Order: sequence, then structure tokens, then C-alpha cells
Amino acid sequence: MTEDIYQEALVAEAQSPQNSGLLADHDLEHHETNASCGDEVTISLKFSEDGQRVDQVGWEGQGCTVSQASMSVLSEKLIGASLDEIKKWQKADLLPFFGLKDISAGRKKCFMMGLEVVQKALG
Amino acid sequence: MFNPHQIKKNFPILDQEAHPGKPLVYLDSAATSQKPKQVAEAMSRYYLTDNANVHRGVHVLSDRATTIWETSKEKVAKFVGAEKDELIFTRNTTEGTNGIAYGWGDHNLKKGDVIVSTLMEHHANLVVWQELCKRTGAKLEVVGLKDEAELDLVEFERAVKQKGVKLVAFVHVSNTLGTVNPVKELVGLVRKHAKGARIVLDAAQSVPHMPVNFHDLDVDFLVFSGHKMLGPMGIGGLVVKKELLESDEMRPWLFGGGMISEVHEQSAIYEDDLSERFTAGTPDVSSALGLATACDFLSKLGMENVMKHDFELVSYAFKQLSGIKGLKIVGPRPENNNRLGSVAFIHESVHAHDLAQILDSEGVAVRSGHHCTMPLHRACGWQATTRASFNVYSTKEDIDALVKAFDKVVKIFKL
Repeated sequence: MTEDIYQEALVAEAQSPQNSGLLADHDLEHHETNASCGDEVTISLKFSEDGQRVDQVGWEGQGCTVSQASMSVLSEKLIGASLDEIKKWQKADLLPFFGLKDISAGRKKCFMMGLEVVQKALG
Repeated sequence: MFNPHQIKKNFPILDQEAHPGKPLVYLDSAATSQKPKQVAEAMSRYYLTDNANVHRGVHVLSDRATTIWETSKEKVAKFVGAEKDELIFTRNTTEGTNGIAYGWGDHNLKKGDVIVSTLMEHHANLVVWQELCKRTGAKLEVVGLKDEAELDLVEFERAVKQKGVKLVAFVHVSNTLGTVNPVKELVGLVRKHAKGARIVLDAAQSVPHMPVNFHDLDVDFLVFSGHKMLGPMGIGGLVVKKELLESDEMRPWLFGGGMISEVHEQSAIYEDDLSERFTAGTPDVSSALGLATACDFLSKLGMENVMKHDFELVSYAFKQLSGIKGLKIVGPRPENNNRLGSVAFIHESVHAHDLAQILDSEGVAVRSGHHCTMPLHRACGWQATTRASFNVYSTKEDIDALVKAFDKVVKIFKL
């Protein structure tokens, strides 16, 4: 389990996250804090012209390897995805992005934080 | 001779592998302690041979269960230096502080009164007072710290000097900083400046690690949890000065069976017997027996010896962990002689949850997060901390295993 989460690729992902930094020109910005550990994520999204898809993503956050790697990988997957599709994503949809079969109960909140922030932002 | 290796043999749970090839090293006793087999066996025996409801039963089992309940209560009260009638069994410390709020606070506080608490409190000794303030209109004042480690005594004195202070609530041993507060000095300041104010002592982290005597400390309320002191989960204590229980100042806050002497259609008269007046409904006899058995276990070891052992572990952990690059230990230095129970730390580049998970992969169980002290973490600018905590079965070898497990952290994060 630990070896799965702390595989080199994910540790590197958290250390050099993709789409880091908020978008100055955005359609939506949303901030969330994970009460159980104090982790924070702010996400900004720019939609396609028809408003149906995510065009650009920028985010900032502070937290553990799991929450930061999760948000980083997710941010890349968001680009081009339809808003309806994103709203339906669940844990099971997220795990394959990381090559994981499952996540322990204790780290689920960290792992899901990014997706929850995005889904809350989309309403 | 206090020998933690021998003591450990009474705790079968500790003799297992956390992961294949990785023996369990349990350093999360501040969250909950493990239980000696004597406690589990006593509770099991109660259900297999003695179980019945207490009081008002004349049959043999009810008589036995009543005796077990009464003697357990007496033993636990004595362990914390109280009289039997002064102890009200609760589920835990949190239920104890809530009991004070409902049984004392609601009818003794009014708009403009002041409750004083501190920044190092567990949420159990803070959120309860926030809610009490909402109900009564009282104001909550939170005393800050000195050097992110000790209570600021100057600020404390100023806070209890102000007009209208009716309740002062503070912790004996901080679950995050490990700080042992100077209770007698604090009580002295309250008695001097805030005449008539009542004092609450959160003893959840002190009762397991040091001798605690309710009468000697001269506080009005003392709360603790059984599960942190080798006893079962689901039982704890609220100790209240007898004069408060006997007067109208402290009133029952749970009503129904067991706590009454006479009931009419529209009214009831409550039990004169103090220990019954504050125990509504069927009590948890098995857990009371389990807790009394834990008190026996600790008394046999001697609480002075337990404290000495704990202090040695804290000092050793402090010294060994200080050698790890990038690690900052929070709370007072052990040389000040005011630290017990735990050592919490922050790594400059590895998040607390990552540390805890990687240490777990080496078999070392520690806790990460805010440990129910969010205001303290926020004020000190700590996102989260990782905490290693001890009990009578903890050894220096456990701390060595913790330090050794950091090798894996270094490897994974290429530090």
C-alpha cells in the first residue's frame, strides 16, 4: 500500500506539480480546506467557448504527497473533459489515473480532496 | 524494579507484526492506550459469570453486579484522590466537560460572565465552552502561550483578574505539546483573583502518566478518560467537589431511571445518594470493572515509577529525534522538567501524513494531524504535526525503531 502511494512517480508529481499557479483569467475559482489535516487547495478553471468543457486549469495548494499528487494528476485530466463527465467522477474513476487499485481509509480524504474541490466548484 | 519489557508481556496485542516482517511498534498511546489482558479478562469474566442489572434487584447476580459496580467506582475514585460520591462515570473526557456545561454552566452563567480557557486545549475543553457561551451569553477568553510551549502566566493572571470570571478551564498535560501545566500555581491565581470562580482540570493526559490527586490539586471539576489509562473505551470520569454536588450548584443533566427516589405523573424527586443522582439509566458495569482493574494494574506499578519511566522516554525521544535533519520538535524541552506523555514533531519538507504513513510501513504506529488542537496548530502556523506517544509498555527500543524508520523517509523523499 505505502509502496504504491509513495512510488517515485507520485512523489515526483507532488514535488513538481502540473498546472501549478492560479489563472488570472478564469471563469471559476474555488477554495477548500480539509478539516482533518489542514490541507488546502484553491482551483481556477477556464471553460471552452460553449461552456461545456474545461479549457485551462490552474491550482495552488498545501498538503501531503497524496493530496498534492492527486490534484496534480487530476488537473491534467480535467483539461478537455466535459463538465457533466467531471461531475460524475468517483474514487473508482480516479484510481486508474494513478495506477492504484485502492486507497486506505485513512488516506481517502487526502486522495479525494482535489476532485471534491473541483466538483464543489462546479456545483 | 520497573521493567517495561516485562510489563509489555501483559499486552498480547503488542506481540504482532504490523506488516510482514515488521513487528508492531505502538507509539500512539496518547490517542488510546493498549489494554493489559487483566482488563480484558475481567470484563469478559463479568459478562460470562456475573452479569445482571445493578440496584433494586434482590437475586444473586444483581447483588454481585451491584457490588462490582460499587467497588469499581470506589477504586477509580480513590485512584484520582477523590471520594466515591464525587465520581460520576461518563463515557469519556468529552462527555465529562459537556456534563459540567449542562449540569453546572447552564444555570450558573449569565450574559457578561467570563469563561477563561487556553490555546493549548483539546477541543473537548474548548468547543463545549463555545457552545455554553452561545446558550448563556457568557464570553470566552482564550489565554495564549509563551514560546509556543508553555502557558503565558502573565496573560493568564490578567485574564482571571478581569470582572465576571466564573469558570476557568485548562489542561493538566497537553496532548500535543506534552507540557505539564503548573496546576497549583494556576489554581492559586484563580482563587486569589476570581473569588467563587469554578475550575475545570482536563486530566485526560495526566492521569495515565503521573500521580493525580483531586483534593490535593483543589480544582472543582476534573475530567479523564479510561481508555487512555489502560482501561476500556466507553468509560471515563467526571469528578466534582462534594459541596457542589450536595448544593443546587450542580444539577443532574440526564434524567430517567436510576437517578430518582420518587416519581409522580407530573414531577419527580431525585435520589439523595449522590452517586446515583448523577447516573441515569443502566450503567456500564463491565467497563467500570475494566477501568478499576486498570487502576489496580497502575497502582501496582506505582504512579511515581510510571511518571519516572515516562519522563525518561520523553527525554530519550527528544534527544534521539533531535539528531534527525530537518525535524523540529514542538513543545518544551525536557530539561525544564515539565513535559510528559508524547513528543510531536514537524519535518521541514515532509508532510505529517506522509511521515506517519511511511513510518507505519516500517511497523511504527504514530499519529498525524492536529490531534484535536486546531487553534494551537493555527496560532503556531503548523499545518499538521506527527506525534509519538508512550505508556507503561513503551521502551527505548520502540523509540530506536522510530528513529530507524526515518531512513525510509529519507530514501523515498530523496532527502
